[in-house]
Amino acid sequence: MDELQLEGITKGYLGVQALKGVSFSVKRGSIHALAGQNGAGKSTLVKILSGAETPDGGTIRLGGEVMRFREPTDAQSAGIHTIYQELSLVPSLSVAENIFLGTLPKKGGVVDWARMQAESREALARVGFDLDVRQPVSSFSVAEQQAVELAKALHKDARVLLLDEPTSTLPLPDVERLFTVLRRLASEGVTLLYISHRMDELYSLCDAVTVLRDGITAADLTTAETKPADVVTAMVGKSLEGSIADAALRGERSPRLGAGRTETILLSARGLGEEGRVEEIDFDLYQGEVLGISGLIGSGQSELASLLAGARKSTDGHLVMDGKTLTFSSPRDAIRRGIGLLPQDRKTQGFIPDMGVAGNITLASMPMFSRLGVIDGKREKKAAHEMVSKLGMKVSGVNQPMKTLSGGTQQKGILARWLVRSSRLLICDEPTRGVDVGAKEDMYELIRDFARSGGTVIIASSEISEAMMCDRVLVMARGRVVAEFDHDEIDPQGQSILQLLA
Amino acid sequence: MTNNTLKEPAKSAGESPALHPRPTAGGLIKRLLPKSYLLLVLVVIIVIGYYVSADFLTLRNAENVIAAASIVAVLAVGQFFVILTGGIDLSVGSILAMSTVIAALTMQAGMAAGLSVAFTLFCCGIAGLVNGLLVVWLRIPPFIATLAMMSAVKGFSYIIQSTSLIQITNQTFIDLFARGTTLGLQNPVMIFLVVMIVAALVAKFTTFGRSLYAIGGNPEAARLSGLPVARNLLITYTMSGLLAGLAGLIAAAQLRQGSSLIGVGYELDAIAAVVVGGASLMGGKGDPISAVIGVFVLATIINVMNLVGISSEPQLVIKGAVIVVAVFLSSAGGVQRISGFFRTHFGRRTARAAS
Repeated sequence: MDELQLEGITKGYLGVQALKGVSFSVKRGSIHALAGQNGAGKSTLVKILSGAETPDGGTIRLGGEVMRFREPTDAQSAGIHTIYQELSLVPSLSVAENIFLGTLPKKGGVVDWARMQAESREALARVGFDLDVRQPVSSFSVAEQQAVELAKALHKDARVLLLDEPTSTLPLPDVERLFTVLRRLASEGVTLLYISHRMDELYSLCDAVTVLRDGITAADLTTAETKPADVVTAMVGKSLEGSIADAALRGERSPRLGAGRTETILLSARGLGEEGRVEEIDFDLYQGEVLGISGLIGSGQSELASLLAGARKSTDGHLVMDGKTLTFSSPRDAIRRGIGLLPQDRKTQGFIPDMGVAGNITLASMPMFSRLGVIDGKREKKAAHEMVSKLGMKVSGVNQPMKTLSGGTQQKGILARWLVRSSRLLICDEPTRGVDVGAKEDMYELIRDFARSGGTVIIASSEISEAMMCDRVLVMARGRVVAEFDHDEIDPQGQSILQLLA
Repeated sequence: MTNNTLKEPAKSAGESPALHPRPTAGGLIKRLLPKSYLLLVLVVIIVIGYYVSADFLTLRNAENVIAAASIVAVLAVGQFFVILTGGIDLSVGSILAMSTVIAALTMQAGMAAGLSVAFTLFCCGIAGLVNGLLVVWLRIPPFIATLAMMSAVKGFSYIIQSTSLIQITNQTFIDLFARGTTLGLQNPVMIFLVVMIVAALVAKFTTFGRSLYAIGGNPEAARLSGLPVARNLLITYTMSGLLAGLAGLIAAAQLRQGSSLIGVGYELDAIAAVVVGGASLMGGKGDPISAVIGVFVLATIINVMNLVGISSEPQLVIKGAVIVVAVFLSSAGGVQRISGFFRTHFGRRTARAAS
């Protein structure tokens, strides 16, 4: 029986047709995946289903009844709840207050705390968590906060749950736990619409997949009868088989990115550490090498990457580069040594939203494009044009504001910032987080090009598939390096790394 | 195979060409729109002024408006740079007052005009630098830091002033900042024009200006790109103090006195002008010329209202309304929202008619 049916949903914004007629149906009590590249229309569809936007045309049926949502509250009272990537809880309020937000139970004009707490505990138990519901939400981990969000939706009698990339910020063990909860909810008759970029997740969790491409339904697949490559093919409209991204998606060992290391040491870390984050890091980085730093989220690989790029300050140890003992006190110090950082969070750390592409590209090398503090616009433009065509950036002009570009193109813009000043070492912190399959493949190719032309790369990543592309991998757990593998020592499924992570 | 796939995703990444404005004539007009709306507002006010008062479009009146606006225009340029970095400077009104007091005091003590000017500007620059140090070193939010300085500087100038006001009789000084003319323009007008043009060039063509846009647009990205964020913030606040001092010199010369009571509320006029000029209080947007146009939008309205004899209380109400309308049109995306409103309204109606 179909719980949710969409028929010919269209939605246009000023000048852009985001959805050109999306139709699919979701069976009651099933876990249904929604896949598609960035810009395929997923987020627009989520907004429409959650009532944040009204469609231009088409019908939504919930349990056979035609629905019309004008506001998010309409969708919620109909039983459709959305759990966004960025959780929408009030951090300073207690768990119970968050679960009952907007519907505080009252007894004689005052809040009935006892009932509220009891019901909150019940709702949390349904998702398999036991938390002190009187504590503020901010005192709990991301996984626990997500559980609170789920409990909140369930408490309000959710029939359909929309989950927008719920695992993107979750450590691996918590992902398994979340999946267990989701499977149980599905068996209780809740319908789940699950959005994720990770194919392994879709195939281990979901019953069916609807693929969106350019605002239309590109494919309706059942996971039992298809393989991840089919979804990817439908997403990009062309077979990716044999590519790096495909190998990464299938979680298999990939061809190495680098050309192999030379014998020259570019940089050494000696006893490097930051109190409470990373400890006693020792390694030598060879020129031309692609070094992976692998670990679960929160294991310290991201912090180590930041230390090496001067974005954080080390409290112990030092670096050796060009025969000199160094400690970076700011990114400026690292940049002077030819180190560039591709930060983890593009939006908050990566680019200047209203500034043009050219300005963003030359941001770290303004002295190169200026004389006596005056910018040489011509030379800047020329360099930007070169980068745009070299990296295949999709822009209308080098003055186009950075914020109007797609995620993948933005990431290329930040990469260009370091290429334009011929950096020696590129440090990538989760280089493909939140970028779609096609752009992922592009990123890998660009990193490969950089390495093959003599550059050195460090990739800090929580994705095993990315670790397996590197010439050498340092595995981190609880802030320490626990193992080191050469590319050829890693088994095709990456089990040797996975075991160490847990 | 891998090489073949390189181009394909790039193509699909830009799947909606409409998202990316092409550099057509339409696109160009669209890009210039916010600024032209601002000018349009100014023109509308001037046209209204022309119709309601015969005295409005006369040379003498124009001179009066521009001379009066030149003080706030200089303040607004300094304020613009601070707001560009995502900060705010509430102390400029007080620094302006301190400037008049120090200039008057030093000249009363017999200091030559040139030396007095240099000393005054130095003191005001120091006050601005203190603002910067509070923000950069002590990490006090700009609003609080400059609010504290607004109070402290005002108290300080009251203390050193010690009488109610100090007359300025130094003719060289008065000529230099109020009465004299250079190249046929009154000196105050010349000063603000030079300040504005230099500021516009700095904002657009220098690495310093570029880095301020970056710091305001995304401070963390600016830091990670190796920009000297702390240094540039210090320079910006010092510059705002210096320009407030310069504005104070104009005020002192025009009023021929130094007093801690001059310039009350000027900081708010300057902030209002900057936001009317399309800058965002979040930082990273705007330009100095628009900020100065913002000053003239507000000054012209006040002038028109004075000419037709509207008393000062209704003036304040109208001024408030104008700020809201101008900011809505210039920076809050008002035009798009209005047209969007009509579109959805219209769109819905046709959809209903069809069904």
